[in-house]
Amino acid sequence: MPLLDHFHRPNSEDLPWESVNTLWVSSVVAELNRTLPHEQFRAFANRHLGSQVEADVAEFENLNAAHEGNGSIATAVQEYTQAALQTIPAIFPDDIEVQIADVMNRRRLVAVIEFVSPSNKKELAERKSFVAKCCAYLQKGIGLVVLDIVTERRANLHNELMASLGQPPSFPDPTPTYCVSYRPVRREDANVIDLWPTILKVGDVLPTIPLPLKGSDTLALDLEATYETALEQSGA
Amino acid sequence: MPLLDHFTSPVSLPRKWESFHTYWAAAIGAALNRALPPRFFAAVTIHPGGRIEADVAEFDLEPGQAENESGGGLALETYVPPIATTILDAVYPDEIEIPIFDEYEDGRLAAVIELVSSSNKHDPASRRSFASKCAAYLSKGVGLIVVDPVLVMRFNLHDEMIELLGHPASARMAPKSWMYTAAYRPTRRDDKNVIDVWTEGLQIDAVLPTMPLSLKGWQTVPVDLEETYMEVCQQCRLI
Repeated sequence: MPLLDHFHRPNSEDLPWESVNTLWVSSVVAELNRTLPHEQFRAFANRHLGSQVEADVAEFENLNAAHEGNGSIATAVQEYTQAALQTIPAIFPDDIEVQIADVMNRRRLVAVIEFVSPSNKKELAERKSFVAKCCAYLQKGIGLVVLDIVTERRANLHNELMASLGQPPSFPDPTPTYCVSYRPVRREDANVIDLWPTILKVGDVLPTIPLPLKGSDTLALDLEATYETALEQSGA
Repeated sequence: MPLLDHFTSPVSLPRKWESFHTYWAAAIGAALNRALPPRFFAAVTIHPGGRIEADVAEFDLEPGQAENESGGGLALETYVPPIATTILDAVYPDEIEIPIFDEYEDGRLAAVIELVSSSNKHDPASRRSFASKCAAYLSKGVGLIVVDPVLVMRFNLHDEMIELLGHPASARMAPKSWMYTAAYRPTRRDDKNVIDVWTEGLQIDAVLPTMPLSLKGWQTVPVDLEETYMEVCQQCRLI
């Protein structure tokens, strides 16, 4: 099944990105939970669309926080009431992730698959925010895959991540659709990150890419199979 | 108890920052667990990045070796990825933090207190790395306090984060604020996403402040830095 352009006609109407993306995330979660040893690893979806449901990320200020959700009164805790010295604007970026946790090790996060959304690529501040999030995962040695099929914006978040690390770009400009696997590892007394950048093209079959798990092996992630499942479920 | 300089004499070697901050993180975690309702749990995470990186980035293992060596792991289908096309040098920063988890929300992270170490400020890559981590917490709406008593490295990591996120210079701290504490509360107010910020400079021989810790989905509680600092100074026989 070749990669489709979900942001322009005709597919933007019949197979819009929002719908296909949701089903693709589910398909990847299902596939990982089918193939990973269930006693050790668990994959789950983490989906927060920043611009639409920010309250899910940053709680509304006027919540009656002293009351717990079930109606009982919380333990009386002194509240800090002093006003902030400064208030700065915030961006809560879209978070569309598959997280893989090691349930035998206190649900330690071992890998994350980031599905890039259009808003992740929109403004400089949003791109910086996404790059910072990816850097934070890599600093903790968590395996990472960034998957970007957003054709309507030209930014390349991997190249921006490389720039933030003082590295040359991996992709020529413009490369709006791509995927990259990152494996933080310690080799020969040095800390390194192995990279597998791949250009994705509309009309091409999607590749199988490495999904590195912190403290374990590197898995094969079959993008094609999961994408096909998502399209089938979308009625394609 | 006035703040001591843990990075230069006369504070004796074993009581310098590396050892002291471990006690301090544990004391702050314990104080929070005493004060907060049972739904919250404060843990302590300490990874001295430059020394035990393998705790963060695993050693490069042959496929299948991970479960064999761990003894209790489970076998995965073997996959040998192609050789990486690019290999980057990586920085695994020191991590001395107190993450607070919310059991009502499936153990999600509600807040973090970061104790800065000298290696977090050592070079541009380390500073950027620390700033990225803080920015990532805030972008997920997690409350944050940064405590930076490192006088020997004359940088301000709050300013690094402000620059990283593209905020105007007016959001920076006063010049030469090398030691400071900052608290951040991501919130939504009047249909806008904002971060409330409290910053305070730290001074040697001055008393430490009480800072606000914003717990995601709950309220903001005071963290008395002075009380826990004094407790640890006593434990370390500095007073």
